[in-house]
Amino acid sequence: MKQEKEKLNKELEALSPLMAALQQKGDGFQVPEAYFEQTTEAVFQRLENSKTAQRKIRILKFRRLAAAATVTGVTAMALLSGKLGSNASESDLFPVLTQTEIETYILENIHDFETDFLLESGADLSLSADNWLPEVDQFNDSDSENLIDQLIGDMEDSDIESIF
Amino acid sequence: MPEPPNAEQKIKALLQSKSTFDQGFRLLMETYQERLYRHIRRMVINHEDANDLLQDTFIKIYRNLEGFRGSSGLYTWMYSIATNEVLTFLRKQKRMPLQGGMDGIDQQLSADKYFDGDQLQLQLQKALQTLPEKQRLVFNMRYFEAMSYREISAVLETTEGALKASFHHAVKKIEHYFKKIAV
Repeated sequence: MKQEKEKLNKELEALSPLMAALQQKGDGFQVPEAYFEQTTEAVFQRLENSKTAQRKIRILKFRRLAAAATVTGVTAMALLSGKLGSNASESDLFPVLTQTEIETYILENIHDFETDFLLESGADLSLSADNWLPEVDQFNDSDSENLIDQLIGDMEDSDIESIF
Repeated sequence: MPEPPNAEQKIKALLQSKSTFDQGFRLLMETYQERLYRHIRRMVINHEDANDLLQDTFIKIYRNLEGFRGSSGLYTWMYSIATNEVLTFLRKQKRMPLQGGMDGIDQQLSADKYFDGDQLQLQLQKALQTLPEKQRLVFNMRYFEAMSYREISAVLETTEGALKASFHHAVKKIEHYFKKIAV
């Protein structure tokens, strides 16, 4: 630095002796007392304030994201359940089971089903009465007697005893 | 006029570790803030503006220290940041030329309790306002801060030859200004 100052003095002397003389006086600017100590603290305070603000913003952003995720999740669930509940087709509910498989399962496990549920399922699954019962308007007394005889014939003795 | 290598090395060593980073930054401020303040103050004149810009400069330095790769010296890098802050401020405030012209700077400095220069120093500041801002920067860095042309070149990214020519022109212009007011 000292070397550079000497070079500058020589340069100025050669250029302008007036400016060389004036250079020794300095610029005339002063600073308030203890200014630099206060500046250091002021800068650290601003950095601390900035960190606190950033932390708050991060928390706020996280809360917003969490709220957005919750809303999205709830909406998705509502849409999904709405689809299954109102517009579900048989293929949506039982995508890998055929109609025959479903009917076979119900008939094989008929004792496990409540009567009301069977009636509803039968309607839902297109198990209409014409598949296994004669039409009501064609159902006369002789038909009913024949059907009862057929059912009794299919029953075991133990089943008949359990009814009575 | 950078700090001796051991001061810069000590600061860099402290800045390496997260646990001593703030300690290193405090030492950096204590070491360089006065010179950076004077550099800023000579350009913006007003102490309050210089104070704001100095703080902004150190905030930027703090936030970018991790990205500082050391391709240039720490001092040169900080000087570049301070210079950019000053130039941005001057352009924003349209202080070039200073509001109110020569009378404005005269009144401003006469009323400034942190300027205790005599008539010659006041005239010198008035003469400096006649220079383009880049030339004024070069003049201040060479004339008041005794920075070498190489150091100024690293800060302003201008060739040493161009800087030398700019400084010589500035000295002649100011000398001419003094001769003119003496008549």
